[in-house]
This record gives sequence, C-alpha cells and structure tokens, in this order.
Amino acid sequence: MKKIILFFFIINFHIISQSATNFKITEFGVFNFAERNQLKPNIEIKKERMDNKTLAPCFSHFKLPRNGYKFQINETSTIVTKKGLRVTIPPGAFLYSNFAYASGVGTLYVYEVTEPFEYMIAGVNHIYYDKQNRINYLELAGMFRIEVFQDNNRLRLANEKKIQVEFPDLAPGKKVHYFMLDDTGNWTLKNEFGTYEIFKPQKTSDANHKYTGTRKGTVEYLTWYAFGIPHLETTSLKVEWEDPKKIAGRNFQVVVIGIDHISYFMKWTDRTEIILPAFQNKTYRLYLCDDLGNYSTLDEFTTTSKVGYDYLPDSSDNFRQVLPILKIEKFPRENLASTETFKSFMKIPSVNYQVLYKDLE
Amino acid sequence: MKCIFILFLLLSPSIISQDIKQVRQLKELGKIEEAIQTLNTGKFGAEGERLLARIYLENEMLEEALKIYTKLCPSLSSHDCYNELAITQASLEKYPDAIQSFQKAIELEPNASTYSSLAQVYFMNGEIEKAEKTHLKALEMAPMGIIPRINYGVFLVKTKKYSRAQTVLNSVLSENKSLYYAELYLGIIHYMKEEYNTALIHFNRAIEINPDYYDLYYHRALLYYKKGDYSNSLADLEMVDQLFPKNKKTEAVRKVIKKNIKVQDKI
Repeated sequence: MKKIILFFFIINFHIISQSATNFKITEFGVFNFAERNQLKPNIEIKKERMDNKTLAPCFSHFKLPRNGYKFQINETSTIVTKKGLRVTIPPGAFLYSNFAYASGVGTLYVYEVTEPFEYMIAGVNHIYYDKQNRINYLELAGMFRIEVFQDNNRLRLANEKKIQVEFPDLAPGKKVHYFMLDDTGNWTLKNEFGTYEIFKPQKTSDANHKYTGTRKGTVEYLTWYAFGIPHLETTSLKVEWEDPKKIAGRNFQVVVIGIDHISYFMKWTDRTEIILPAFQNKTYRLYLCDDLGNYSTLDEFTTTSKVGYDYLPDSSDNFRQVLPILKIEKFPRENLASTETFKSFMKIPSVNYQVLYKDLE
Repeated sequence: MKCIFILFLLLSPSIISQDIKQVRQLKELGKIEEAIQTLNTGKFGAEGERLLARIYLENEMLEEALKIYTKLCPSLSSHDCYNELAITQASLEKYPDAIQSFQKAIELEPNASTYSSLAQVYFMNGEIEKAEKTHLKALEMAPMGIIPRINYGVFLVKTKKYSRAQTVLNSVLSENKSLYYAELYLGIIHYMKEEYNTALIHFNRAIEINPDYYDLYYHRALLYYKKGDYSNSLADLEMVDQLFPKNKKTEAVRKVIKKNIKVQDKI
C-alpha cells in the first residue's frame, strides 16, 4: 500500500470549495489545508455563517424551545406541531451516523420560529447572498428546523427521501420564497414563490380568530428552513448610546425587530455606535444588550423611503436615519422570570393565528 | 538619532506586513520563483517562513516544506501549521509522522476536517479500524460537512462497502452537483458492480466538471477496456500520461490492451 504513489493535485477553480489552493486531492480522499487564521485579500463580499450567533445575556437567557414527537421510523408518519407545522415523513427515511438504515422508534424534534421574540433567541441571521453574490436581507415569514434522534443518536435523512412540510402562512398574499441553510451556514434559495403550493383557507378571520393557511415545502436535509422575501434595497439606521452610570460592558448587541411586519436584524459591536439595516417605510423597535447584561430600548419608530446600505461606507448618497441616543441601564432581573414577563417588559409583540390545512379545513 | 531608531522600530512591523502582502500577491499571480526568492532573504520572520513552507507544499517541493514546518510548528504551536506539516509528511509517505502531526493539530484545535485527514492517513498506513473510527468521529462533528462525507465515501469504496459508499456520495452530490471527485467514486462503485453504462455517465460528468484530473481518464480508460473499446481506452491513457507524466499506472493497462489487439488481429 505504501508504494502506491500519491499524486497531489491542486484543484483549479472548480470545486471542492471556491478557494483555489486550500485542498489537495489524493487517491485516498481530500486533504484540507485552508488557512483559517490567515486573512485573505477580501475582494468579494465576506460571507459569514448565519447560524449559531452568540447572543448577549438579555437574549441568551431564553432558549428556543425544541418540541419532541415520537414516531415509527418504518411507517409513514404525519405530525402536527404546537405552532402548526405539519410534517409528513415517509417510511425508512433515516440513517444512523454510519449510513446504515435506522428502524424502530425515533423522536422528531422541531424548532419553530414564528414571532420576533423567537427570532431574537434563535441566533440565526437572515442575509441571503444571491447568484451575483449581492446582499439581500430577508423579510421573514417563519423558520423551522427538524432534527431526528433515536435515544441520544442523531439520525440523518436518507438521500432519496424527502420530508413534506406545511408551514403556517405568516405573510398571506406576499411573494415569499423558501430558503434552506446550507452546510456553509448560508441561506440558499430552494423554491421561488410560485413554484410551491400555497393553501388559502375559505374561512375568514374575525376579531377573535385569525385564520391562516399553509405554504408547502420539502426537507431534503436536516437544517434550518425559512420563508422570506429578499430585499436588495434597504434603508439604514444609525444608533448611538451613552453610559451615564458607567456600567456598560465592552461589547454591545443591537437588535431591531419589525412591528408591522416580520423582520429582524442583529449586530455586535465594541464601539458606541452602529449602523443597522432596515426595510423602508416600516415600523420597528430597537433593543441593545451588552455583554454584562445591561440594556437599552427604543420605542417604536418608522423608517423612511430613503435608500441606505449598512455595509457601504458613509457618503452623501448612502442614507443613515439617525435615531435618538440610547442610555444604558441595568436590566431588571425580575423580568427574566418568564418568556411572557420578558416580552411584556420589552414590548415584544406576539403573533397569534390558527392554522387551517387543505385537507382538514 | 535615538528618535530615528524608535521610529524605525515602530514602522518596521507595518513595512514587513506590507512586504509580505506583496509576496502573497506574487504567489497569487503564479510568480512562484520570485516569491520564493524574496522569502528566502529571511527578512519576514516566522510569518515569512510559514508562507515559504506553504508555497513549497503547494508546489510539490516537499522536502523543503518539511524542513521548515518541522522547525517552525513547535514554536508556532498552531493547528494550521501542524495540519500542513502532516499533509507534507503524508505526501512523502511518512505515515506514522503524519499521524502524529494530525493528532497534534487536533489537540490544538479539534475539527472535523482534520479528523477526516487523519482517517485517510490511518488508511494509508494500513490501520483500517482506526481509519473507520476516525472517519465516523469527523462525521459526528460535521454531519453535513462535504469533505468528511466524501472522504468517508472514498474509504467505503476502498474497503468494498459499495452500497453504503453510494448512499454517502449521493448525499453529497444531491447538495452540490459540481463535485467531480464524488462523481469519480460513484463511477468506480458502478464499475465494480459491472454497471458500466452508469459508470460511464459518472466519469463523463466528472470530466466535464474538471478535465484536468488524470485519475478520471484512468478510470474511464479501464471502463472502455472492459467494454472492448480499445481505441478510446488508449486515448484516455494518453491523457493520463499528459496530465501526470510520472504516473506508474498506465503502462500495465496499455500492455494488456495491445496484447488483446494483437490477439484480435490474429483472429
């Protein structure tokens, strides 16, 4: 075996990844020697992972709930989750980590994000880099992630199997696309609006009940999926803060959430000002939390129609909406007692609806 | 005078970093000799040495790379340095040394890709069980990682577990259609199962993605030979020789084909 010649071949521009010289192909596999600690000349937009974002203490206190549902792996199963996601699993769809087919009872765990508070604690951002590598911010219409375990062993979805999902339609009438978070942590467009089925219920909403239909999607591998509307054009917000009580930490996380629509932008900084993106002509609320758990908020404000990009430098034609200066304060710990107290204290709106399904209306 | 000296001290790191940027640019532009010459002046410190070793490694000057990495890595104590040292050692078929260096890299910063590389070297060293265990460790750390899955797929092919290898490689290709290496090994699986037409589809697809990798032509040559298409087989062997003149694989196949052609002529 040792005599077998190893021939190393540096991949050109095609493709194990887009890096030119970070891999060597042998007749036994691929060696990766990307210089992860070496900054490269940044000619293209630097793509960052969208998931696993670190959250400041005020936001990280609450974990996004994960609900579990038992099912028989070798039978077709339909599961309706607490927030209305309906999941249909074909039989024999899962593999053990060594790629052998799994059998017996599995547990389907679902993370569902349908409202601003859940976006805040999910630690997932929503930039979509399109084919031209342009930054698109997503106006949101819900997000979910499915995981499957047997005992403590994570199962993977078999390549030839697909899970069907019906997700509550949180933006009825809007041209919402379906996205998947790929293994590099980037959102990729899976289905454009018009290429997947939408169910619009006959039943009309009234003062007590808000009815909504579903958007259908498929799950081909187990990661985050999101419904959203990509926006190339945004406005930008300039936020500054002061620390009169001298209590602030070193790093600050600033979050804006949409009030009259679903959107969510989050950034970290170690300075006392930050530029954030926002959609034009929309209402938002803003939250700041530092690494010591101090906070500040800004009540509702409305953005203008002027175009501004947070990722481009200041210039006369790159608009910044200057917001009132924030003052850092100690976060009253008692408001961390429960999700509801936190949401009420922070004035974070809830989203309520009742889902109707095509075959069950 | 003192002030000038202090000013020089303050400025020198930025001058060096500016210069090293220029050397990196030379490397990006393919001006390898010029880059090596500049780095060999020795004025760039550890960063320069590291870059020099990397250039040697990328350009198959393995002994030179090994010399620098061996000296540099214990003082830098970084994952990336030990990872590159290990790849150099594996390239030189110093498998036990490569195993040690990969282990050191993992100790400094465990990650799936390095486990996957370590698994390959275990296999090269004939330690099959350790190889499989280490592949599975890499997959556990990055279940969606492309490289750990491809490498595990290749391992399964090498250990003749074709059906599972097919599942693994298909799972990668369903996410990214431009992975010629995964296409190659799917082709090999079909070839081993004597499904020659499907194998040909995969080899052709792989060559379409990357026409510069010699092994794709080598396997297609074997396939053409099996199908009795000797002229296409010889043409592909010719491509292998062009792309990898030092290869030792083509001659034996060529001899067999020529022998068969003679037999056919006699008939």
